[in-house]
Amino acid sequence: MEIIQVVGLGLMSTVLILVVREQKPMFAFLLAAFTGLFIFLYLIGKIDIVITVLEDLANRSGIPSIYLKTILKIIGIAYIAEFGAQIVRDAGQESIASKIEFAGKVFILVMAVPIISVIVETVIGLLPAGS
Amino acid sequence: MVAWLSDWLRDIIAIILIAVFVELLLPNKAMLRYVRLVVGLFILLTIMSPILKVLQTDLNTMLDDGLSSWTQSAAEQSLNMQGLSEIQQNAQRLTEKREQEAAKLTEITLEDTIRNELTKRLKAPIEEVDAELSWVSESGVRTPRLDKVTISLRALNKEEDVKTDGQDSNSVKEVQAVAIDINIESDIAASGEKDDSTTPAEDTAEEEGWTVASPADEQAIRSLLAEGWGIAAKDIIVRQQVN
Repeated sequence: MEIIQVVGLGLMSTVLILVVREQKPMFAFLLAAFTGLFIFLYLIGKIDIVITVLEDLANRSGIPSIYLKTILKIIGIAYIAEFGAQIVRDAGQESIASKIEFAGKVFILVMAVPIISVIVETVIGLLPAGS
Repeated sequence: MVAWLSDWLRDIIAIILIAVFVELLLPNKAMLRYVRLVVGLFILLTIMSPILKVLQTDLNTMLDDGLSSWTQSAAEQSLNMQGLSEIQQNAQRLTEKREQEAAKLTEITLEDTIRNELTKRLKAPIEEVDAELSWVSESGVRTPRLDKVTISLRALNKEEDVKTDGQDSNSVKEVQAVAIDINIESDIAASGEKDDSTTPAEDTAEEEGWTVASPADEQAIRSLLAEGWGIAAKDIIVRQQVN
């Protein structure tokens, strides 16, 4: 029952943060950040299982490995950007958080650039050359 | 035909399954649209693959090239980032190398000057002068230090030895090959003992063809070295070839 551990940790740190916040807001923030980090790292290990399933699926079918690589990179970018943005948001810097998310979106779109270029090239190649 | 169709369908089903998994895995809604775009492009490519095959365009190599060039540029950027520590390591290595070469050069020059001086002043029949430097770190800075000076004198003929024992100091000098071993640290004990225990001549304690030089020569050489280069007497080894 790992969910109980995670939820227990979250509740505990919430109570501690509520207690500490009055005296030392700084430590409250640190506590929140490290709790988030801990849960994140803990769950990263679990996500590994899901990713193994995805890889297995891709290997069984004839999907080129480059597809899966790109998709996994996208997931990683999304997670990291989201996590960083939330920590920053906890500290009250909403604008910086939105910039981090923006950076994540841009990187994901950059991933799509090679695919788009390939599609465009093929479609242009489909058109009759005489035009 | 059927096999080809089933392959195609299997690919499409697999990529759609992966897309669903990925959407579930995503942490928040904000990224969802962007990820959908990319995954949608992949699905499009998979569906288009038969057409592409008919057109005989090599889709995967094109995609590979595009993606690998992209990741390569990213890798190059990160390489530059790592470069700083690597550059520092390289600098460290080069510095060490340079220091070692400098030390070697110092050793050679020192040997030459000692040899010249000894032959000029004492007319000692020097066979070989061997100086060893060691690195001593003082307050974080590594500085070379003269560790050991070995002076080897040419061997004497027995008869000449006898003569030297007899009287003439001149003949003694001609006769004897003095090997001066200067051990600063490690060999101190050994050389000290030898100096104490062994008496002149070319008798007893000889390590593989070497024997202790006559005390007069040894003394002269030591004083000269101490005077000229400030080498402690205990770091100097004077030895003589055995016939």
